[in-house]
Amino acid sequence: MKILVAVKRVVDASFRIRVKSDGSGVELDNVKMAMNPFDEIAVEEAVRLKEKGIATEIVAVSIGPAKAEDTLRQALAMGADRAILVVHDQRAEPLGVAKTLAAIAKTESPDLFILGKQAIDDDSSQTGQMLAGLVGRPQATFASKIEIAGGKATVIREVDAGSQTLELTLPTVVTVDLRLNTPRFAALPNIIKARAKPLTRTTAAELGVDLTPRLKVLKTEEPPPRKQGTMLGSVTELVASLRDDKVLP
Amino acid sequence: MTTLLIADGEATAHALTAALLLGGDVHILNLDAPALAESAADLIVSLAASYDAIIAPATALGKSILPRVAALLDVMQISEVTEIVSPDTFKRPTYAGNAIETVQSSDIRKIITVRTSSFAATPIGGTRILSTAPVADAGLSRFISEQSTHSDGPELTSAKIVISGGRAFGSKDKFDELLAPLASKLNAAIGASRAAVDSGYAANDLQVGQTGKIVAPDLYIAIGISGAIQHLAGMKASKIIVAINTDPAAPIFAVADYGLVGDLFTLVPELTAAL
Amino acid sequence: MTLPAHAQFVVIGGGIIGCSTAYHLAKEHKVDVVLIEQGKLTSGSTWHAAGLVGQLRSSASITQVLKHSVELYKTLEAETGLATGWKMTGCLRLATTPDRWTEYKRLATTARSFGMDMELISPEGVKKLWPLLETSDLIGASWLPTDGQASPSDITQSLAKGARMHGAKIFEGVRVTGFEMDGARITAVKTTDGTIACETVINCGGQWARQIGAMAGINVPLQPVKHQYIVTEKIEGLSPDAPTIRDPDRFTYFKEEVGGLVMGGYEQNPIPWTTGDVPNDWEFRLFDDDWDHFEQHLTQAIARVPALETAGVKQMINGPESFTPDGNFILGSAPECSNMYVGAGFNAFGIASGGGAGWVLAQWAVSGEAPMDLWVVDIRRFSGLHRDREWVRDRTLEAYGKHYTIGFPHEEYESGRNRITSPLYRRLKSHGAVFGAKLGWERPNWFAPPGTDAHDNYSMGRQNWFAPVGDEHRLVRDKVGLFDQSSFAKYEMTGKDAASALSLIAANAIDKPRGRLTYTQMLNTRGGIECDLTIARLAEDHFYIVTGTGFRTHDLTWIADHIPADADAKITDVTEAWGTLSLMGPNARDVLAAVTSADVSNAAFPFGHVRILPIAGTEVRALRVTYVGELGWELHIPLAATGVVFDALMAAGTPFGMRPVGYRALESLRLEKGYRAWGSDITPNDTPFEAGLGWAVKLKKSTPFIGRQSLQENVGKSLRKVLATFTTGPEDIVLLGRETILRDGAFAGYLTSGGYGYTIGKPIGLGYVRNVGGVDEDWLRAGRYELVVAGEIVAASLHLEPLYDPEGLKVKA
Repeated sequence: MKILVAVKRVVDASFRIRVKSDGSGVELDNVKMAMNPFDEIAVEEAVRLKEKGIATEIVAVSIGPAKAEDTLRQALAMGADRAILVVHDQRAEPLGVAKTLAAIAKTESPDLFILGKQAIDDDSSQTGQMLAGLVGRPQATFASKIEIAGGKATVIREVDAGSQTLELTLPTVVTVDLRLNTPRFAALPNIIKARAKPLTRTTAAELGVDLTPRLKVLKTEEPPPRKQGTMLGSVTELVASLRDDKVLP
Repeated sequence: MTTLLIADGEATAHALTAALLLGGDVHILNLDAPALAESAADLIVSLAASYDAIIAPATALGKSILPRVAALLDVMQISEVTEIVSPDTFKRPTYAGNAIETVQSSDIRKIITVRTSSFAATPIGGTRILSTAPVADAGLSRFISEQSTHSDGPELTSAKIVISGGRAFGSKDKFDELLAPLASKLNAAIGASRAAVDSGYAANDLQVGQTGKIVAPDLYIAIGISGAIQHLAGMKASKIIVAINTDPAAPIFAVADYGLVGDLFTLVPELTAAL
Repeated sequence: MTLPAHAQFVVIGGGIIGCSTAYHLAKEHKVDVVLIEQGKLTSGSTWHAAGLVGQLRSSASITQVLKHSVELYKTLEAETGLATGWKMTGCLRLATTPDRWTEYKRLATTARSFGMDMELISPEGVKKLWPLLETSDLIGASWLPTDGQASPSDITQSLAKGARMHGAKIFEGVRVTGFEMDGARITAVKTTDGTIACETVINCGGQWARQIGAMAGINVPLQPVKHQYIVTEKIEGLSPDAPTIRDPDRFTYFKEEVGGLVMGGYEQNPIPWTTGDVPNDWEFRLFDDDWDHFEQHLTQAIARVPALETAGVKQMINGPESFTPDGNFILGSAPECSNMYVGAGFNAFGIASGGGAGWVLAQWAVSGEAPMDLWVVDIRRFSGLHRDREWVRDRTLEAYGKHYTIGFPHEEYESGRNRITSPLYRRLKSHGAVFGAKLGWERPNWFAPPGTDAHDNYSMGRQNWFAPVGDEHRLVRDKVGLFDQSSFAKYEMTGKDAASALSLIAANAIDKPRGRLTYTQMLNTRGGIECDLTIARLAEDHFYIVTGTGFRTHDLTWIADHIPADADAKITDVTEAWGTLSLMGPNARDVLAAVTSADVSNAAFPFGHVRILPIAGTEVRALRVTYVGELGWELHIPLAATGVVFDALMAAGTPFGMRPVGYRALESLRLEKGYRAWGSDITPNDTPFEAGLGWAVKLKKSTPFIGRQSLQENVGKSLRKVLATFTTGPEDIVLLGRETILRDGAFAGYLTSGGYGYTIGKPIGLGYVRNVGGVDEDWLRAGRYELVVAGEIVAASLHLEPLYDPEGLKVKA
């Protein structure tokens, strides 16, 4: 069984982002980047399926600038077998990304697509669902458990009311949530090995995909600032305040 | 202008407000539960030709189905809209709410999900409810079951409430003795500062901070933690932050919504008792 | 809290250095301090420091500064209630090659000289201290048990709290936008939150210190360099008290953190950040991971700690740190501005330095005088050269790359060379000159004989220049040699009050008749030696002052700062206007007489005089003075004519076999004469009486001079230390300085200079013999002496007279 995992290079979640003062976007120069945390979970799940003997090959794909190679190398260090980098320097939207992945799927023919449930930069949460639609295969979003057997995937997904179990016929698309697993940190030997694993570069044009954004971003601005904190005099005051804020029953 | 609104329980009334802001008529589509994305999307796509916009609340259901619809219609969806600026222009949060984008769609048909907390509810009465014939199941997926919310103990990175202790506890015994009852009352996960982990009061995997776990619960209570930046990096995205510390100049107070200056050895038992 | 309108001291920067300085100012000096930080405390580079705390440096004073840091970190929590994370884990430095092992033997000796117990231990001993370490390739390790690690952010917060407890006011989110100046003096600090009038500004702006300094016209030559380290997951079996590891042969270091390891390294190909301004909003920020660059450390680290095979890498930190062109930090009073002090450029040992650097910087800023010999970190060690950003970057990167390379004696930098060359450069090169660099100047270190390799081949023992330098040495002793010393710093001091001003500043009597030279020290108020130079009186109101190349900015600033405000006296740097040729040796007069019509007989031109001589159509300032102990003259020639005069002298010297001679021969010659070198043998820590230079102090006259009071108070009291000369028996002993002096088997000081005397055929060292109970000649002569050289005890002889020509007959011939 072949798994295709999509990974995105995003601003490292542990750093505060800076909105450019001219409203043209978020500062991305000299910023620490990282693999989208949900994509790490996706890669981890794929690697676990391979370790269990269910998957035989993991292909990691990223659409982004040349530096997105680092993100793919991380996926390779975690256990992916090879990588495809679709070099693209401009902003790409989920629809374009989904089309790109669908184009790659034509040649790769994976049995399972695993994607993060959303990227922590644009927070769109669309790509997996779009990809499933474009390739005409079933989907399960927000997965907290994945089991593969007999050409089917049984997925527990987190929904608003609790969780839901679906059975999907492979090939299928699964987007993963936080509780699915805790991604491993790659050890040094794997980081070294990853640097020699195969990585293919291509472009959206070569794949016949148009990545021109459909949305025009008119402005990017900071949200209103966090309100000034209050110093309280007693535990009683604290409990009352937290109840007012509805974080305590 | 006519808008198709995909209903999802109580969220529908909030999404309706947004739908009306687009102008024109709104038709509501109720999907039979449990709605599978594949057949639901096919149904919506089959209706799409009559609509200028398709809208859904950004619930698990809306978030699952609508992007599939958008892809099938070759439309770029706009997710988690918090403000309708005009029928083609919307505001939406990105970067975990740290940057608000105003985006304009050039697609002929707008497909959007809306953040329900950003829109008041509008009574549905009078709005046209579509009646549709059931769509054929493509047979690609099957609903097995639905379970109510999991009940196992809260895990640090996904807990709604996290209480973290620092070195001020002075010993592992005190750390456990004071925090465990509070955690159990709040159904909270326990975290720790690096200093507390270094001192052996808590296990390494409980460390909240730059080199430890990154958490963003609804309520974060930092007890006896000065607030080194490495620690703040791991918890400052929390919705409400409470700091309890003897030092009024401790940096943790700079990020706290509520601060209590005092001795944790008296304040923590007091808090546990008050709940 | 709003910004006050006035403060005595404004500290700029809320990193560890600024907070430590504010803490010491408030606590020890009870002064009114405001600290302003543009972001949040620690948010520049302190927060991402790895937190290793080592103490041993090659300067005794800096080692003392670092020891102070450790003492402070140990006790600060008791005072402030905020922990510093200090752990005395000890530090292991690993050696895998014989040269490295020799370096550690010398290091351990230096440690002993500076009062620290560094042991050299076997691979088995290393294994015991750090069981997870691969030790099969080790020769051994140095072990300094009192080193450790601390939490950079916690220390800084604790220092900030301590500062507040003692009344300092700390403002975050306030950025300096400029200064209000009255000439070269800051009167107020302009900020984003208003203006603060102040007496003194202390620039602890970290990587912003350069641009903050520029707003007041001062140069802080530092360069941010990208430094990376990784943090691993917990490693089974790793003790929380595991010593910090420095593995320089593999260019890496390790430190325990939360059960895992921090591993970083110093690459040979470091990556600089901007040479322009650092963005103001660089707050708690890091660069993107650069695995291409870090890859070089991975296999090295696994080979050393095989447990890294399985430990996951949790995080990579890639942050900018301020580095400097010589690897030392930058401290003290900026020469271009009368009331801005600087504490910046900590070369990734800011956490180790922070506590102590703030301590000495606070004293310096309060008293206006460095509290001890801080020359190696003194901002006045730089010159105009260091305003060149590209030069600073290139040299800084070279210094960064040398962080973990073996430090061979006599090593020269390779970047930024040929910056200032004398007009003789090509001529000297054609004589086989091998150059060194000092404050931008290319200077001939030695001359390779025809047919030999004109390069330094560095090694731990005698190097390839040893024999040729011996020939140069003997040429000067036996016949005559010509030194190009054009790099000497030279000043002219003029004005009707020039003599009285210099009298106040110099310890020796300089108010001598026109045509006389004076060798003098200039002292601080403690009586410590701040400058060591020659003053020639050219006219009633005109003095020509000559000092060492490296002391150019320092000595100029010292003199300028101490000219009384109301005096009509002005000092000007004329270094590049004059070339200097030192004609030295018994045949010097024969050569000189052949090129000038002037009478250069001993009667007409005695020692200690200056005359204007016509040579090759040029008026030359001839100073009869020597640093080699032979008959000779320093000829100061208008720069453009230096070549012509050189050619004339060389032609006249042919009958005597005269050749150009270099600085390494000079060093050997001066050691035999016991001539002191400022910065090593004589420093602000030493008085002229301790240095054996009491004869050059005008204490018997009634003239006031800076330092007099302190010296006067100690008259009649016994000295605690006295500078002496040592020779060792075995000829192949390599002395470099910092070797321990043993008197009757007990510690009695360390060498300040070391080298070899070719005339006496012995290794020579200078050093202070110390005794708290007092040192006098009888006590000195009564002792039996040994030197500890790279760990070996070597019999030594003490000499209180020059080894060569003790009566000084040659000089006055």
